[in-house]
Amino acid sequence: MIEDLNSIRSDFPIFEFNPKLVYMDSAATSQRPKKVIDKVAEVYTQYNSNVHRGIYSMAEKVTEEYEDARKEIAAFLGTSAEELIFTKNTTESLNLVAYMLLPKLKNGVITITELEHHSNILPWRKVASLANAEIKTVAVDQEGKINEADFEKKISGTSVFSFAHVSNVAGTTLNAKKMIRTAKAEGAITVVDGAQAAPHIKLNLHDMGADFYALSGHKMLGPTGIGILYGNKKLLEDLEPPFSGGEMVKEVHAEGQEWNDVPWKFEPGTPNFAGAIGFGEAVKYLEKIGMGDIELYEKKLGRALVEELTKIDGLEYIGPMENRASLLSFKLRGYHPHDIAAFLDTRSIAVRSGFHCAQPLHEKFGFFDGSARASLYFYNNMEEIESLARALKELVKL
Amino acid sequence: MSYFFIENIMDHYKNPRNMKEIKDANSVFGDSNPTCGDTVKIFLKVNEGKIDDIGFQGHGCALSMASSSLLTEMAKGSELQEALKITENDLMKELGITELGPNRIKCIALPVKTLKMAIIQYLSKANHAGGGT
Repeated sequence: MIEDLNSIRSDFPIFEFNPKLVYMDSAATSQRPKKVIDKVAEVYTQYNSNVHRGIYSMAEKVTEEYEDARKEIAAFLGTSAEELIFTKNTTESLNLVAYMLLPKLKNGVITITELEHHSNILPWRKVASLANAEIKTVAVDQEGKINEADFEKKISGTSVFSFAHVSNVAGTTLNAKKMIRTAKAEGAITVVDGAQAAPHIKLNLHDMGADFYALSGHKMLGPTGIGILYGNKKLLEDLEPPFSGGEMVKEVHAEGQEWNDVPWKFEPGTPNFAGAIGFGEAVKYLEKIGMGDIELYEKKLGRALVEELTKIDGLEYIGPMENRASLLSFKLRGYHPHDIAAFLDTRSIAVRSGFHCAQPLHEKFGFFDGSARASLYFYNNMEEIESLARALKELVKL
Repeated sequence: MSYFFIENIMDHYKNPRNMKEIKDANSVFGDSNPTCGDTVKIFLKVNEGKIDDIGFQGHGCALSMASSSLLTEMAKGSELQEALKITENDLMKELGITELGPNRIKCIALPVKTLKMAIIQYLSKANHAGGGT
């Protein structure tokens, strides 16, 4: 169990620098422990040189660190290292996989769900228009849970099924393994947007069976500008790289070339190696605390968040009551979400306001002005939830 | 200080001035802020190059609604050319805000931009109709 939260919090310099800060915007970006920040500084100060190029000792060192980070993250996700492509973030991962799959989409069907944020809608719209493919959207019910009957209906005949593992607005966690099994039985390639799942849930991607899984480092203690696209090795070997350049190629002649092995054939140009190495350190830190413990502790936080906030008169939220991620998107009668966030800011409470890059979902639930969203991580505690509830009650009385 | 505690802003937000539709307006322009869903529509009644009457309708946060309300007060009765010169900074000064981050300045920029467009629309229509007279 996460017993010594004070010692955990002291690992994060941001709380030392901002002693009053109640940070509840981790779904946008998490805070980072000193170890990660130091690791990035170590790369630049001690062995900065380009990866996979030089043969001098420093270049060997940085390459080793870069590939070790890939191995560390692979162990964390339950995959092999060669199945992980380093990208900029989840959005880039989803765009990359969409273009990788473009040749397979001619006149096909792409299925997504109503829970998607813009990054898992727009790349598919782009490739759909290029491939003359159709997009189907699986409906969710009033609690923000997948409408099973609609899923069964729409998955039939699907070429690619792409869905959010955890919704960044509703906080719904989907039964990924089961849905993937159904989709695969229909012959679909499965893509999972794991941006909001990977930081909070113990994953084993091989066991889950996803063909592709996208995630961001910065939402799980890592540096900004580093993400992952996991791809099933067989598929990665078969698919053509949509982007090309240095590093991703073995031989280039006056005519013709041979692509590099996976995963490097999908990593053209100099990668964000310092970010990747920092991300490896972040994953080590998460492993040390234990993802199982994080999951259990956050369940408690999520439950308390709903319990405390629903006591407030005029508060409405999106998503299920039970079994939800430790985030809550809500509105308060008579207050615009920006005004809620601006008021909470005067109490040093940081929450996001707006559509959280998921406007269709807000519109579905009648949240036309967007919502305010409190999203928690394992460094948050019960007192902070009480502070949030207290501040909101204060606002209502104002 | 947060705008939440600036009385002028909360007053304009809770009691917006000129929040009305002008039926015989000679220019109407509406715009929105795609990132937050704020909308502002401005109605102008122009007479001999001067804003005789101005109204607005809209929907959004306290900052965007208060600045729309105040903007209509500032523009009412002024020459079109003068009204075109009103900037976000002028509004901030009138509202009593000393600084605003890049994410929130958009809330104030929306009514300013909408008023400008309403005026430009009026001027181009007038040019077409009157052939420059």
